[in-house]
Amino acid sequence: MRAILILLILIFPAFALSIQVNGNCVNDELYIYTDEPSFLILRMNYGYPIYANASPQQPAIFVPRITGDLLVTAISDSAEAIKVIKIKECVSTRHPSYEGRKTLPSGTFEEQGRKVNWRTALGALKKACEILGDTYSTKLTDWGIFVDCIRRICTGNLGKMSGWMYWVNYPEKPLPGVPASEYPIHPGDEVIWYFSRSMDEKPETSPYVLRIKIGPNYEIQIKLKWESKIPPKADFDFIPENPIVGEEVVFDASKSYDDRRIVQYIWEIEGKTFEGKVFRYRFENEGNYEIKLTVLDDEELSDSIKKTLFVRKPEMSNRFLIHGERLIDLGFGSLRIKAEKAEISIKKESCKIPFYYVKGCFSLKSNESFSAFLESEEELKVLDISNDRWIGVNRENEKYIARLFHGKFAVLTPWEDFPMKKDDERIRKALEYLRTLQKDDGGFGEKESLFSATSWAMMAIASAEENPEEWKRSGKSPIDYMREKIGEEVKRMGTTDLARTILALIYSNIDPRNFEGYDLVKMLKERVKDDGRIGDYVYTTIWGILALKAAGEDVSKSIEWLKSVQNPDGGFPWIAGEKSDCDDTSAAIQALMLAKEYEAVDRAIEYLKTCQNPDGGMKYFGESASNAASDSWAIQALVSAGENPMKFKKDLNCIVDHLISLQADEGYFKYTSHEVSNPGYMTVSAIMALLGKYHPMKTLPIYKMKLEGVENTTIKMPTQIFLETYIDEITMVMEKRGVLIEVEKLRNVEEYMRLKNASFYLRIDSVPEAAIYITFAFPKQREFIIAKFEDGKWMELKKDFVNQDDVYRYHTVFSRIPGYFAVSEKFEEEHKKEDKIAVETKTPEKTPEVQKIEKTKQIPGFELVLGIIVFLVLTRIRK
Amino acid sequence: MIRRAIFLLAFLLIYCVQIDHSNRDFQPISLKTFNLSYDDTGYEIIPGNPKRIVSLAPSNTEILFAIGAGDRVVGVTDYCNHPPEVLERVARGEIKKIGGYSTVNVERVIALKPDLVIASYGNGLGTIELLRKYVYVIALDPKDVGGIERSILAIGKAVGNYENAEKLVFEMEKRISEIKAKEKSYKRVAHIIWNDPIWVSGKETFIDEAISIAGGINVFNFTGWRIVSVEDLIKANPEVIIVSSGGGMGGERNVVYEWIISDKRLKGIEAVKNGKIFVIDADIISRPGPRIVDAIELINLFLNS
Repeated sequence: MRAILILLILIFPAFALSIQVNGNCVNDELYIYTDEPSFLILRMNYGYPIYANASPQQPAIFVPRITGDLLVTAISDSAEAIKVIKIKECVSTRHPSYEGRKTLPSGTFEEQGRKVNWRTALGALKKACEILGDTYSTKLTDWGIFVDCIRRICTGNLGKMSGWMYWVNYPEKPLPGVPASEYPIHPGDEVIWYFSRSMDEKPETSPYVLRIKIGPNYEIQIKLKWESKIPPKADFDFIPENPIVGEEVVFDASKSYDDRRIVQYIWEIEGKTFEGKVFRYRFENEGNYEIKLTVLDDEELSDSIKKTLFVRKPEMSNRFLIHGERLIDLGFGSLRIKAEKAEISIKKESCKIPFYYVKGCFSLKSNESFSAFLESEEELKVLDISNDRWIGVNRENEKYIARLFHGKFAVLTPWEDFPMKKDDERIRKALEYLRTLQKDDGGFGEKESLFSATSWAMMAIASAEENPEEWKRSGKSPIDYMREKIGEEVKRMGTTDLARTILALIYSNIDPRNFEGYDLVKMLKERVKDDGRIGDYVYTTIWGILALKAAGEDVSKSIEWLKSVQNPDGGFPWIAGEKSDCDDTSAAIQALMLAKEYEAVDRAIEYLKTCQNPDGGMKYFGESASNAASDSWAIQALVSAGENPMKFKKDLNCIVDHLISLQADEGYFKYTSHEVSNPGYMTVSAIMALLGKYHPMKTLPIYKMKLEGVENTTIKMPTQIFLETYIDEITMVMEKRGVLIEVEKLRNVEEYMRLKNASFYLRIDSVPEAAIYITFAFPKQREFIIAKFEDGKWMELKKDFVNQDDVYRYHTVFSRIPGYFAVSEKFEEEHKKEDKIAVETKTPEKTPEVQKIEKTKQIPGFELVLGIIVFLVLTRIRK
Repeated sequence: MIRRAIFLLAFLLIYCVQIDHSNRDFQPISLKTFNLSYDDTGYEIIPGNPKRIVSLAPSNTEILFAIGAGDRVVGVTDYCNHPPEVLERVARGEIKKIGGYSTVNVERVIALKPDLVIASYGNGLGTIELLRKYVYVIALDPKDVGGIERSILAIGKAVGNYENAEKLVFEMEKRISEIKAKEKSYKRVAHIIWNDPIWVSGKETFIDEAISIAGGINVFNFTGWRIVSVEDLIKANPEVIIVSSGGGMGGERNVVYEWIISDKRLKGIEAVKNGKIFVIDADIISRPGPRIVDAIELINLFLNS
């Protein structure tokens, strides 16, 4: 074809018809003249033909968009002619003759040290400003050139978020995704520069708009909308955010702004009106209050905003001077306090305890010794929150009596109707269905095993208190599958994938710090940013918090970040700044409960209430239908926050009933009432939720360490473990081999081995058996007993005083491990009455003498010195 | 939660599974080649002039407005946001929201007493069949640009705006042919949807077709969407990277974009070295609606910039 055309060029030039072409630049007009009226066929690079007419008076105008060969064929009545023009990129700033003052030239200009094509959205702006005799200015950013000011209206002039935006061919075309300097424009385009005050500003709503219409020959028409009167924008803050009754609240309208000047600030509260930019107010009653601010500018334009504020009841705090005995009514029972002379303070506290209704929660403090008994006619349970242990309740003379001491206590009655038992028919059926999803490689999935689906399945299995290791298909368990796949999966894992894997492993009693050689916890920690955020998003941070906390890491900074992204409606978004959604809010509640952030949790639960549909189920977002996943997330959140989900109702329909209604006869859970989608995931979510299990369901044994074959190695406990267990350090005795030691704090132990008044239990495992010294550091003002469970009973271990500092007293006990230990606080009175603690004292089997070393003050490196000394001492003992 | 992140994918995944448009030779438009007798669930498309239309997908809403039937729309999903008029009319209460995309609130749809519901495969067959008991439903499942054009004509037929639909399709074809007429750059392109984990588009996706029409080559050869590692991305070494985003420029941060320019491991990639990283509005590339042509043009612009 091409050869024929070239041949044609060679054959036809003798004819009279001639073609004259002016111009040969890309994106520039080409003027094609013929010496008699002709029909033109234009082909760019021998592509699709474009037809036009030309005559000596009326040239055809063509704008090539790419470089290459333009083949022009002219056909007149009597002759034909062909011409090939090389189209080139022209970058010079030449001003063609047809360019008037109001035409956008071809070529480039310089902006921020960069060459910018005139025929771009930025070029159009520059030209428009030149025509108007106005100015604009730019800044260079990571994104490229950014327009800062036009006609002296600059970024930030109308509020923090305000700035210039451009849009070509609004609204037919999408908002451009490139800087204005890179957005080419063509004849017929309309470039709109508008000043945006918020994310939802559109050209038609903006007060400052520059519309630049590009004509067929790049001539420019400008339309300007420049409102001279711009209404002000009202906005305000108040502190404190959650005031209590009677507390002074400061309202500050400094965030309001105007292009000119705000002259009046009018506040409306409780039907009263106040004036002033800053004003102070005290609320007399508990409740929600609506505050309205109206601002007026000097052009008499106004704007209003409403915000709601919640005023809490003041916390109960009472001091009582006790001489002898006094009975104090707490509302949910009475507190009988006996003391010779003591000032007792009783302070109302807030607490949220899963699976219990909280009748009351308070702390008890005194400077002197006292004895206190909580008395009630109704049966109750009392939890010592400070030590996370139950307090015995006795029945005497038709009353239930619990003995209290210093600390924080919750008086509780259990939920009767939730959660489901693990042998409930519906749970069994769901688990049976789950079994059908297991594949021959041990993994789980709808069609084939998937790593994520397998993690979810492991969590559900563990939530039913079964061991995933024992769920085998063709001899392989889900953990075998994960072991096999971790190597290839780990490279592609996102933050949530890592977190989910860690949780699934911990729930299955497997150490994620060394899973097939991978330290998944370390990998997740590497994703924690300086501000506490984990990964980039809210949902990644939530998952990260749950997993890191389960692994015993400190997540306080991440919790702070999470709190900072809570939306004003109380909900949490998936990305900071986005709208709240129900699932992310439910997940955030579980993370916040780890740090007992009750205030944030209460606000989040208020938001969750707006997520409930009239059928009792939860939507994900907007107006969506209730679905099993959102139901499950919300139930888990409610349980973790101590709210009985059976009481979470809308129009008498309960969330739990809704979730149960989605179970099919085959055992799986449908996504919505008429849609089956991802039944495996819906089923695992429902199993965990209906069993009342929330994240993290389990935490890693709080410390696991490998002591390599050096004798007398001393391991200093990380702060986290020390704070939980009072164990300061552990020293190995006479072991040459490597020993793996695992320390786990237990809230509860089997009935037969419960020790009355135990603060907590410790399980210290070792492989193989070993002998250790454990150094405990107990708060100085409190006395503790350490007991070990041996031959079916508890034996008190002999404690050797080592030293003390300002806060702690250090004692060492010697024991062989593995074994169970109990730590209980010793009360002076009980001590006198001796039989309160059923502990037999016995000298441990082999108690080498430990030289008592005085530790005067906590100085850096002291532990090391102490370690060396202990080492030397022990070496000597051995000899 | 993560489902929201995946939601983005869901749109894409649901719409185009297992399609083959590799090297679809461009043919000048011939509307007769589309079979408009039945919808994508095998139900007859009856020509009509419905007065109350409910759209169950953002793409259907865009099509309805583009062919001039927007004034008869009474219900849309939570995700329908284009044209901007939709949001304005929702705010004024003239159009009601009927729930999510995969979580359609059937009761809300029926309460609107529609005489036509335009559904999408992604609504779920359970939902579509349930609605059919009460109201006339057509359901669409386009898998490529041709399929989008067929959807437009099908909707045009069902709502009595066939001529407008034809014009729209004609216009789309014209614009596509203009792009196809241009010299192909054959640049190697990667489309990154998300960074945590790294989701990218492979073959048989809308964006893959858009890249190929726009003259580029997708560096990822697998079918559908996948998670890849940083190493995979470095190995693929694209000359141009396209990132999906909800919004445009104007100061709004795009985390995926920021990640690409700031992660030191990616420094050696051609596109990063040469600053050829572009943001595209996820809505125009993931929705099987008329704006797919905008996406193709934009991508062509990216490839030639």
